[in-house]
Amino acid sequence: MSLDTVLSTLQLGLVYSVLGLGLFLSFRILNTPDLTVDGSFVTGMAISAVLTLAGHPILGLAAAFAGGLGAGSVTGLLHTRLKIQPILAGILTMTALYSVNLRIMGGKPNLSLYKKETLFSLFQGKAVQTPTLLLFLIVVLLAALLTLFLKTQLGLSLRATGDNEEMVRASSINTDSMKILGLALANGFVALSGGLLAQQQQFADNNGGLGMLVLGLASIIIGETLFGKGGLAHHLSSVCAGTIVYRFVLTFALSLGLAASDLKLFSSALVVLALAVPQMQGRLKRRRKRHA
Amino acid sequence: MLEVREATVVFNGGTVNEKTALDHVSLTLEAGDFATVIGSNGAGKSTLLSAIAGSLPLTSGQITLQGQDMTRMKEHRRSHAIGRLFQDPLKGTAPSMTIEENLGLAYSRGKRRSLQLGVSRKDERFFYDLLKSLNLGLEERMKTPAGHLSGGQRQALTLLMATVVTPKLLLLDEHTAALDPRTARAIMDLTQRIIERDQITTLMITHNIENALAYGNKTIVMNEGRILHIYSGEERRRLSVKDVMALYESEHAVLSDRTILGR
Repeated sequence: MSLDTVLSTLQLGLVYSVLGLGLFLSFRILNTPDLTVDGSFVTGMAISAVLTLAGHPILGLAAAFAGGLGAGSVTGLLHTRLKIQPILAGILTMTALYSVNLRIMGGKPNLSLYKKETLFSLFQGKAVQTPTLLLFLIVVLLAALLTLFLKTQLGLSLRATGDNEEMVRASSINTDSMKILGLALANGFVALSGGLLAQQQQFADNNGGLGMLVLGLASIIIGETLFGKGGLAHHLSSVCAGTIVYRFVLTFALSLGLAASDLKLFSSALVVLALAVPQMQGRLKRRRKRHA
Repeated sequence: MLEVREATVVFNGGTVNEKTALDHVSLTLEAGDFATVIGSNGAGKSTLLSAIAGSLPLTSGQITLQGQDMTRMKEHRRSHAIGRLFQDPLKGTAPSMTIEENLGLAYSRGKRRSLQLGVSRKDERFFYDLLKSLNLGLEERMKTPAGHLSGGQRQALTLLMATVVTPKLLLLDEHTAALDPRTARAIMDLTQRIIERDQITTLMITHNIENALAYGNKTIVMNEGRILHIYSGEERRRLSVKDVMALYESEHAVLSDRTILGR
């Protein structure tokens, strides 16, 4: 693996770490597999790309985050106010977002940001030399902010909602508002991740969100398995580290001759495997007990 | 203080499975009252508590707390003023959050949750003293997830959480029934201590008739969704476990006759 490959893999890992943080919120904190992600990731890409083309790359990232907040809120409202199952609510928003994203991109299926000013070119030659370091700082900052937020009164309420909903209602917390807030924030992070990716690869693609939920789950599971859960800060670090490891696994698999078109199959299989292992272990243990 | 007027809860109304779980129940508690509720299974005790807490809507009737009509109020709004403990110790705490975070969550009951730290340094000291008063050694494990605690410890923590901000009304739904006898006794004593210290108006369901008569100042006997009798004062002092058992038996006799006659 050349240094260039290592660096670009690391950069992608860091970009997707932001996605991992978002999925951590919906999947681990709220205990909801939220499919909005596959759409909101592209929403972030599209918004970021359009504003970068207009010459405002940083505003583009902020707007991408806001776009994700909006997408997540819609899913949250569908789920809490209309009592639609969370998975279906996510699928509905995701499907609708496909059209919305095309509109944002002016009807074009993809946009090129080649030779445009991006977040990374802005900082070229300044104090922060390389895009890798810049991305690293962004991820550390976001993870720290998220950890801090989850320790505030509002954050505690959010965590308790996913943990023990009945108790939360009995502690004067509106669980519906918490779910909407959680899904909004989660998708904000996801869209920001998409926004960063668009500027990093100087390209936005309307189909770029396919399989993002699976990818994020794989990262979370790998991180937890390899680096443990521990406290909040530890857990979030594990998620980010897991995302980066996963990127390297993919790069390695590609260099061994895995076709790029088989990546999604590979990712899904990995998640199935990770989910199956605890099941298998339990079954083995029971069998051993029976034979003992 | 608490006024329940003609409260009725009907499940599956209008179908063949229609069941009246609460049948025109009226009940008044004065400030500082500690009432125990007894009755056989299906008597409507838990339904009554759920209706007051707001987790079950009333089919008809009215519930007011300190003059405020709560009948249509959502559960999370009511819980500004109401603390509640369940039989299952798992229901009262968030398992993946630490002891101090659980307390922090409960400590902000009734306030607007903001971006302030959930557990400040000052809170931490306050929680330490609070936990120490339990004599369970929990004050040394404040950073331990609540899921690691035993049932009795979790129930003690839940009790603290329900009363860390003194509620106007405390609802206890057989909160010691899932514990071993020794732990149950300890939790019951703790409950009594906190209720007396803070003068909390309390409604407690129990299957332990001895407890029902030993604690509190009123005993409510329920059957088939109705209140049979409310004992207080001299009448309650003279009441023995045997008397209550006899009352149950006669009720069951009526029930079985009705069953045989198909009515």
